[in-house]
Amino acid sequence: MSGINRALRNKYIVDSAILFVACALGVFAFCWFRTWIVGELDTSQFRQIVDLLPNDWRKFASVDFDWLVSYIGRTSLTLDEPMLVMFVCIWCIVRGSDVVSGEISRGTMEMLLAQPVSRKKIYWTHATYTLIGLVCLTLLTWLGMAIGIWTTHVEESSYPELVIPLVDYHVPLTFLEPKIETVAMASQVNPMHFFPGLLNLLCLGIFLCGLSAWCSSLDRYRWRTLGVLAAIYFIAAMLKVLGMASETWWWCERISFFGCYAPASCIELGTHPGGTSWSFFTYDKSGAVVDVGPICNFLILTVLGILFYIWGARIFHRRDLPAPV
Amino acid sequence: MNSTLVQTDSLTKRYGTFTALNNCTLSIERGQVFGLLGPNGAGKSTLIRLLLGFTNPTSGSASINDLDCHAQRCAVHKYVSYLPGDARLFRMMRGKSVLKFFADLREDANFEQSQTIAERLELDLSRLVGFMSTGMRQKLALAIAMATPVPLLILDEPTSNLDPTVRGEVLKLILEAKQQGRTIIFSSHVLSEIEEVCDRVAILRKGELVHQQAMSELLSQHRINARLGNDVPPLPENLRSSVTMRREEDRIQVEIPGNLPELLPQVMSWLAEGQLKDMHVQPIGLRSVYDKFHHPPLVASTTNEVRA
Repeated sequence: MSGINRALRNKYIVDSAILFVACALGVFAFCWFRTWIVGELDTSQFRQIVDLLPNDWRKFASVDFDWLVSYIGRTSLTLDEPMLVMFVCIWCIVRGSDVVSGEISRGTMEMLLAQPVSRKKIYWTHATYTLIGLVCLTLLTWLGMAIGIWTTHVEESSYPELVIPLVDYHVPLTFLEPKIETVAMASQVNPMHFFPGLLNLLCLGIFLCGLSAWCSSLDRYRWRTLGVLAAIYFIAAMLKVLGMASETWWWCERISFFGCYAPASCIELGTHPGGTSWSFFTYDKSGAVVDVGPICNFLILTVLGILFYIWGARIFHRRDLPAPV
Repeated sequence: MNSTLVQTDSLTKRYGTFTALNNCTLSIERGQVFGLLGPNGAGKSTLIRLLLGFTNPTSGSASINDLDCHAQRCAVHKYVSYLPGDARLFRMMRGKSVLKFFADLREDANFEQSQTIAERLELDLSRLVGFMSTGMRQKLALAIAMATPVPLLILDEPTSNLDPTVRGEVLKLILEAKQQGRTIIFSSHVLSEIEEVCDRVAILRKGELVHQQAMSELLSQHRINARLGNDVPPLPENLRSSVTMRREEDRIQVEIPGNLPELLPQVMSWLAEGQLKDMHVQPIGLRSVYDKFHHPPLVASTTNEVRA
């Protein structure tokens, strides 16, 4: 059995190597670069830009604008960037869709299944290495951001202060020229704070891998599976934007799987005094439930992803294997 | 150990209203080379795919080595090696890597043997599969299938896309496998190949198993084509139960279903009564049997078939 695992493992690693390297480089470089860009813009200057934005635009932000102007807020938004999400989704959709319809399309499934290796073994071995790749991409996302933080210095402007002796009270002298100081970005942002957001990214990936494998198990043409998945992806993205843009259509965000993806918001919850990212629900000041919390979102995405995987495995186990066209 | 290795019982496969295989019942003995004949769409590949558990039967059952081909397909595959009709392999791998992959995939596979077979088939294993021609891919798949030491080989048109020299080599490999006591299911359109290597043959037509015959029985059947100067004399009483006669003007065709040494002198003396002009004796061959089911002769008014 170990031999079978080794052969399949090697095959799946070879099959996905180029795609993985491309996605890994993309993710890592993008996160590093994005973090460096954050460091290039002084927080006070960024606040001026944000203040100019119309109030209506605030509803498109998943986080509070006041938090957004902080270094951690702006760095956290890296996880919301379409470019990063696209890299991770490409991995999930391309690899997930390969497992059944990919092999059938290439005509290689026959020779594979003619060996004493069960369909379940093929399916779950593929799933295992797709998910390992996803975990690696998530870790590289964090590493890119962390290296960006560790290697970037930011300029902080502060006014000279008058210190009142005995009470040790600091009074900023705003009529004077601000003092510019260069500090390490790491003194402003702790990379460990990003873990809830990264977990959210990982859960989104698990969902997409499961959905893609399920679509693949139903189909015989890879191009069609990819087309269907791309359509689902863009419809889900549109539903989220529609739900955010209009109060009437708020429910659209709820039916989109992107509605469960709010990494910056997860991080924000953990950085507020007394707040935590590890809650099932979010509450207002009176203690009433306002919305589902990060853990609920993680669970929804992960459970749905696993259910799609299991459903796909059942379909693949029972379906007829068509002759190559 | 059961002498029957493969058994199907009323095996049927339907796709909606289309019946790909209907009520197919057959058995294949161990050590036999079993030929499957039929035109495209006759149901040969459907039968093979059902035996391999690739498709689920609509009704009926199939077993290999007493294991159900559907419910125990993974266990069945331990006893089977398969060559698909259109062998497609991993395009990103080199020939040698493909052989290694399949050798690693099953515990009983023999990597060295598959390399030896590839050499016999004059295959360049250093080439990427993506750059191989159809024939080269076929050879690579043959090397994988033939090298696996299993009791049953299922070869779906193994010589298609191959040049005549390699075809001969493949037939040799099949005969070697037979000598090793392995059972082979051999699907082909090439009648001469079936005649050359098969012990038994089944003919399929539009999803129906229409004929089964041992090749030895077929080879003992002969046909005499003769031209007579006079009218055909009446068929003697003692031959009526053993030969079939067809007449067309001055030509006469007599089919002898077996026992040629005993029947031939009697037929000869009967034909001599009609002033025999010329005569040609030949084995009936698979072509005649095949044509009987797939190209039945148009019934002409001048043809008169007599079977006593």
